[in-house]
Amino acid sequence: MSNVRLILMASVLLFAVKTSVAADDNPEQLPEVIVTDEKSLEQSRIDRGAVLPTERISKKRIEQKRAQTLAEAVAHESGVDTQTSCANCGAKRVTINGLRGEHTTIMVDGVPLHSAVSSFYGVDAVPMAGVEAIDVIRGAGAALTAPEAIGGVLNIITETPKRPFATTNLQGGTANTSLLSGAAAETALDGKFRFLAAGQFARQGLWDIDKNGVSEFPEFTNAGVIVKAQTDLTASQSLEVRYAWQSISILGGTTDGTRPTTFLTNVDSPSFDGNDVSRRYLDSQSKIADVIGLKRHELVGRFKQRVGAASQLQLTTSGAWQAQDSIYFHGYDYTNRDFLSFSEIRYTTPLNVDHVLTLGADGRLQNMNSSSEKLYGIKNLPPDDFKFQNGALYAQDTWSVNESHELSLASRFDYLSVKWPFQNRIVERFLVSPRVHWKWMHDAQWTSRLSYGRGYRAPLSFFESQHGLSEDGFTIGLTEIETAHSLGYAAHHLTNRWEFGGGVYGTLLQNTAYAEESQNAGDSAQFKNYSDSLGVVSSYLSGIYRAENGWTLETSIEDFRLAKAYKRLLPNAVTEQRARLRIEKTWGGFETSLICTVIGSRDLALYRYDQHYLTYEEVPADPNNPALGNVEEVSARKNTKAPLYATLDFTVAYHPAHSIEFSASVLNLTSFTQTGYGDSPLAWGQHGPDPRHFHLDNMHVWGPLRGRVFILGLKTDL
Amino acid sequence: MKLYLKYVIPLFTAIVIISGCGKENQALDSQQGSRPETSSTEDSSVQLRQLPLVFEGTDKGRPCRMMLHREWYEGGVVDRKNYRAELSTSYEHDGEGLGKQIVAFSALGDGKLLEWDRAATREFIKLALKAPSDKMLDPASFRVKWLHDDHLHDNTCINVKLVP
Repeated sequence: MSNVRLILMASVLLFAVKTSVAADDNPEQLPEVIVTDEKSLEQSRIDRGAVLPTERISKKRIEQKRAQTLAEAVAHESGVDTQTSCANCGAKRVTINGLRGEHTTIMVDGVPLHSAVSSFYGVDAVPMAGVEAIDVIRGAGAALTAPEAIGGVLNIITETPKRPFATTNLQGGTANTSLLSGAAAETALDGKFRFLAAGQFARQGLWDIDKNGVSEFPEFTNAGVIVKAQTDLTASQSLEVRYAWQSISILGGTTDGTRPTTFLTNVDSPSFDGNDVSRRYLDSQSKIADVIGLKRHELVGRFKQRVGAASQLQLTTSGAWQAQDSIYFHGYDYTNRDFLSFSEIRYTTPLNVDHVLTLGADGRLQNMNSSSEKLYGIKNLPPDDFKFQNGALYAQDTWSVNESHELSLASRFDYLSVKWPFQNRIVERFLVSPRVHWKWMHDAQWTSRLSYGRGYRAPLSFFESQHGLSEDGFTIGLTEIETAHSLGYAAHHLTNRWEFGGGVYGTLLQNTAYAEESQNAGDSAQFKNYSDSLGVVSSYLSGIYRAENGWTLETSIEDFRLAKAYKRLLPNAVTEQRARLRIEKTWGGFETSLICTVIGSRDLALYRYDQHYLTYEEVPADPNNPALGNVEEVSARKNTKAPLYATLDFTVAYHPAHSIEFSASVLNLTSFTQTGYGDSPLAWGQHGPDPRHFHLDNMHVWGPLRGRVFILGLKTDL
Repeated sequence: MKLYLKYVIPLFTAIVIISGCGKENQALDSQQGSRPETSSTEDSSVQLRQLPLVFEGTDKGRPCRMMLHREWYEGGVVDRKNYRAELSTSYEHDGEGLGKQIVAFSALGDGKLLEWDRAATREFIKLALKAPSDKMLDPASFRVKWLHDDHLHDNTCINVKLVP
């Protein structure tokens, strides 16, 4: 509770300071009033002006969730699922429309600087300081510059300061939860120069709910800084430069802080009481510890030039450098250095009153180099380095057919090349990716959107693709790029009080890349293309009612239908049905919100969880010949039915003044966890058909891994 | 003539019959391994039977093999205690495996168990015979614990039969 005391002391001090400052205000100097459309944005979560169905997660909503990272900010939002794929190392997958995490493109201000390499841990590296909103756009073809967004796009929109401000946000809570963030902005030259700096340091402690000596949720810290400067060079030119630095540190598995500095020389089964993973862990902490460190730099420059009266030329260039250093308890070290650059030139011009033409070209280059003393030096496996190149031309016509209809027709023409130099493998392709978006405003309240898009993804397979389970290496048998067709329909109704809608999105995947484990112990896994097409359909209904007396009621129900064959290719069980209820009440200086999320039951065997076991036992190697002795064989299959469960998050905030907010939150009020249910993520995972070939895994994940967390917060606008 | 019919012909017939049995025995032994006609007083590779021999069984439905490369009796003493066999198995990967190892009868196996082990790495081979013997005759199953890079694999091959 030391974090909580710190909050209380700081809040008393700040309140005293604020009161004394207020007393000195010059009553004759009126504050500057700036009119923004933030309220109207708050009114609707759907961007009514966009042709694509775009849902916006506002800054307020992010703060209500007490989100410290991108993964937490988008968790349980419409169409989005945040999964922990590994309870030991905290790797997360953020999925849209039921597709895999690799099919989600993460952009920052429209710049795609994240890839499959960064998304395993990077979704926890992106801090929320300096973030104004996150747009969720569903379906292939969601962004012209993100053809790999087969599931959709998360576009993080950083704050664009309109006036000087400074904010601080301090949170502290149980389970070693803490957050310190701040942002400051300055404008000059009559608003022609805008500067933003924001930073965050956040921490979450480990969880060992069954107290067996192995944590189900890792200790985690993240830190980030963003600096953004925008300037209007002339009346027709503007320049924006953004720099971001992010760092995360994860220590999983261990409960006493043991942090291995090197890999295990020999790997054997860690000992549990009775060989049962649900019982006390008896062995060395270094045999269950995962250590992950990630550092990232991003640099973006964007130049805009107005051409003539209404045309615009935009040049963007960017780069992201990422370094990952990890030690896995499966007995190896792994380090990678990834560089991704993106550049684009885009020209937008109205052809006439009805048509706006956009022409552009973009290019991406990604180099990933890795090193591992154990995998490459000792085991002599080929490194998973790859080089990815992509160049494209695109064209888009946005056609305002009439007052009710707007059509966007676009296509990309891509050249892709993926090379795995140490695997002697190259995949090269030319692709055409058309997309059509139709917005129909039936009347002032009703809007429909129909979308079709073709997307692709170059499967950048590497060790993390199997998430650390490929200790015997892998081979590349990929011959094709993943492609997908996506068709979606969404309808939206908005009045002063009511907002409701629904939609359905279907995706047909082709050449899905997956890793096929060898049937023989010691043989490498092979990444290959799945031969059949796989279908995924997601649908939803949602509604919001905003009453006059400060009540807001929001509800939604979602369904994700995945082909059975597709489920078997996924690393983890995903959400299949979800319902949400959010109740918000504001009165006087108080705001309260209660969010209830219900997740439907699932058959975990469909996700290959039927190869997860509680124990192993000694059985005769050959019952007919007891002289051969006993071998270890998995027994007692773990639970394969994830139950229906609900979580409750509650927040109350008080504004004694406009610029101060005290808050108290409880996340997971009922403290429901899968470990508390009796089914921890720890398991003996059988590899292949042989029940005598198994490893300790922490991937039996289907529900919450953190229990109830109390958080006190203090936010100030200085 | 009587002497010839009474003694020579039966004796000749008996010699012929005995010679024929020896050949049959050799034919049988060629399937199961023949007895040594000579033995060496040193550790030599004098073949007790036609080698190498290949034995195949199944491991969880997948084929597995053992190869017998050499066999001999230490010091030429033909008994169980001095029997040695050099064999290898199909349990290996990328050149990593146990390779050829020399098994001997276990003191505890009652003539039905041959084994080899390496205490430092906890690797071993255990070979069970269908019936007690003083050499590797008619294996039933075998178990191999072998180190692949950094972890031990434990495999058992059952229903082993000679590959003709």
